[in-house]
Amino acid sequence: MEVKVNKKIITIPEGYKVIDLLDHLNYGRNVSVFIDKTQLLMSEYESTQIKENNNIRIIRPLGGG
Amino acid sequence: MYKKFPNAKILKIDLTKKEIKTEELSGDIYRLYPGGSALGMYLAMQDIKPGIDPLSEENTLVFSVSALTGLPISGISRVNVTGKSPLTGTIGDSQAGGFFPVHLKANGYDAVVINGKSEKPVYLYIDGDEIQLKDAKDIWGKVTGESEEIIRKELGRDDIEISQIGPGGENLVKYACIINMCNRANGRNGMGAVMGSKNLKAIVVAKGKPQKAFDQERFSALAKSVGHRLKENESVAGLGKYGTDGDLEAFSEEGFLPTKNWTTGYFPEGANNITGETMYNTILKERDTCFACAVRCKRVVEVEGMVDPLYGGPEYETAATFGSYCGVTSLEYVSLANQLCNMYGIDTISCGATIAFAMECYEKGIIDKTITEGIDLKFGNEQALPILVEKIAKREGFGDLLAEGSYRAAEKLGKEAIPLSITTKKQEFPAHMPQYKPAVGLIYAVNPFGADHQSSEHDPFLVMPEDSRERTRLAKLGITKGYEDNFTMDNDKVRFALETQKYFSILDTLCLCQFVWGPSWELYGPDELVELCKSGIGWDTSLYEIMQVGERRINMMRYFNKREGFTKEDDKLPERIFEPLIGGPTDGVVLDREAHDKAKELYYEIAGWDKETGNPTNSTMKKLSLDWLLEQ
Repeated sequence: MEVKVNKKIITIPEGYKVIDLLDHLNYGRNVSVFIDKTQLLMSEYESTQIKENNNIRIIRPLGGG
Repeated sequence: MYKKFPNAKILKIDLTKKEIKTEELSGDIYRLYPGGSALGMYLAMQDIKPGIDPLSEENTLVFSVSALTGLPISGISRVNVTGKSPLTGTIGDSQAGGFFPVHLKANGYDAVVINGKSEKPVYLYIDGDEIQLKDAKDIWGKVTGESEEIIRKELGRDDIEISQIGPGGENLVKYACIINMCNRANGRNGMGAVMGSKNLKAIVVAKGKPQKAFDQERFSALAKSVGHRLKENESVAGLGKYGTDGDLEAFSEEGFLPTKNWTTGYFPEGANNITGETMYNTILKERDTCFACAVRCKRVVEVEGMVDPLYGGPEYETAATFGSYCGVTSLEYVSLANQLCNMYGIDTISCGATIAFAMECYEKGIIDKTITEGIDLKFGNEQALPILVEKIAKREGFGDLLAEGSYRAAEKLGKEAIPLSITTKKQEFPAHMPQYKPAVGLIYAVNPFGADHQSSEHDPFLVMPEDSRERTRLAKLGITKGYEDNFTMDNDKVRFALETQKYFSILDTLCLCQFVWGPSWELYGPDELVELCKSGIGWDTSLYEIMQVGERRINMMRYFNKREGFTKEDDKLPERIFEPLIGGPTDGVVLDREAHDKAKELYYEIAGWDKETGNPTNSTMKKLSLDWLLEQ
């Protein structure tokens, strides 16, 4: 199915949860995820199912150093 | 269960009179200024008169550690240096890691106060109660690696740690630093030049036995949790693996990697070459660490025939300033520039940024080859880096101008050059863009010692989910509001900036590493910091008390600056930050001037500072037990 991630359309398998998408895109767990403008709690990454045409924003915090 | 706060032992050196003495500071006072930067401020304020020349014998230089230094736990070994800065004219303040801090403390000293000026170059040798000023004629003029070797041979021992200046400090480069282990720098504010102006080449400490914890069982539980914490913390684990440079390419992809003297935030042609992952996969020889630290973020790189691992490897700031700031795409040349800075003892941030400034002056025709002495200073000319670093350190020709820092160089080059100096209070910007991190931009403006990226938490952590480690820890400081992006600057963001500035202020006071001990993403959070104080030294404290310590330090610094004539007029970001970025995903992006100005006004108000001058009011000083300064 097709979803939009950070403004790009990508194809992912049906049944993907957020955690699968993060793995698929080589993100760690320490990110912010917004689905259709609603931010998820980290505790929801394992259970939240991604749906066709979801508009997803993933943000990795870039800190100091 | 707990014990009285310990007294501090202060070693006082008068180089003019060749006097050495020790003094005790009572625990009641030490508790208000429990080490590092706050203790340095307290001691400096006893001796530094307003209006002095920072490079005269009237300046005071304080090396300080903390009541906690030497406890066997990660992120505990930092040394602070305080004095009046020759770069900014404000108070100067700088921290470094390594093993020197632990061994200074293990010799029994919480601070070393240096006054006066030696007639001839000397170094200070500390071995317990045996304190000597030794002739430094054989090491004066030598680079740090050579000096280390000569000192070890002269003293006939290897069980020492050395904090020293290189030729950059001897030649009074305005941003000269102080180096230990040949690769750990008290980098910013030109403290190396102050040391050089005193004819003090080095402080050498014999290795000693670090202190033991007050409550061994509780302390061990905290220390031993580090393995689990590292496993659970992707951010710190990544920092260990790829170093501070691990996110450089990601900054470019976002469009916020300062590039070509801050004209753009996008560096697609070079970011991948100079990022931490490439370093890891190519020239990284090993990961180094500081005393007792499990993170091992320090880089050691080697390029055969070009870069010596003795001098460590580039941090993110160094990779950015010599890399993207200058349009340089070669990791090898960035590493060579890093090495030369560590050999000559100059700050990589100000040095790289000043060269980037000169490159833009050259590209814009403000200077030409008659001024650069034939050097083609176009952005991207990697070969110019080592030539210029050496010229700066030796103050040779064109390097003499750049040794003054970009702001003073711009003043000499004319009014067209001044907007190209990306500085606040004459200190060059670190590699975090206020356009991306407006709260960091606010702190760049108001920070007492010039633009600094390690004085508050960065905006992106407020975008994390409410149940994340970052947000739950920040909530303990009263920061509860989350954001959907980095760019918003509202009242809550100002509170975030100020409260985390206080928190970082206590870290620089207790001499703790900000990658291990912090208010959000780091290995240990606010609860553990209080536990460290309690179990480590028996200090029955609270988050409230230690936040107040942090606030006290900031206000002392600001008060120092007030005496020097600084006001809110000096809290200005350069115009470029409000001008559109060029190219990449952030083409046209600016920092919202109105929001920034409004934030500054609110910051002064909630900090308890006068809205007209931006300086601490008498009531704020009194609230923080700083009445004695008002009476001075």
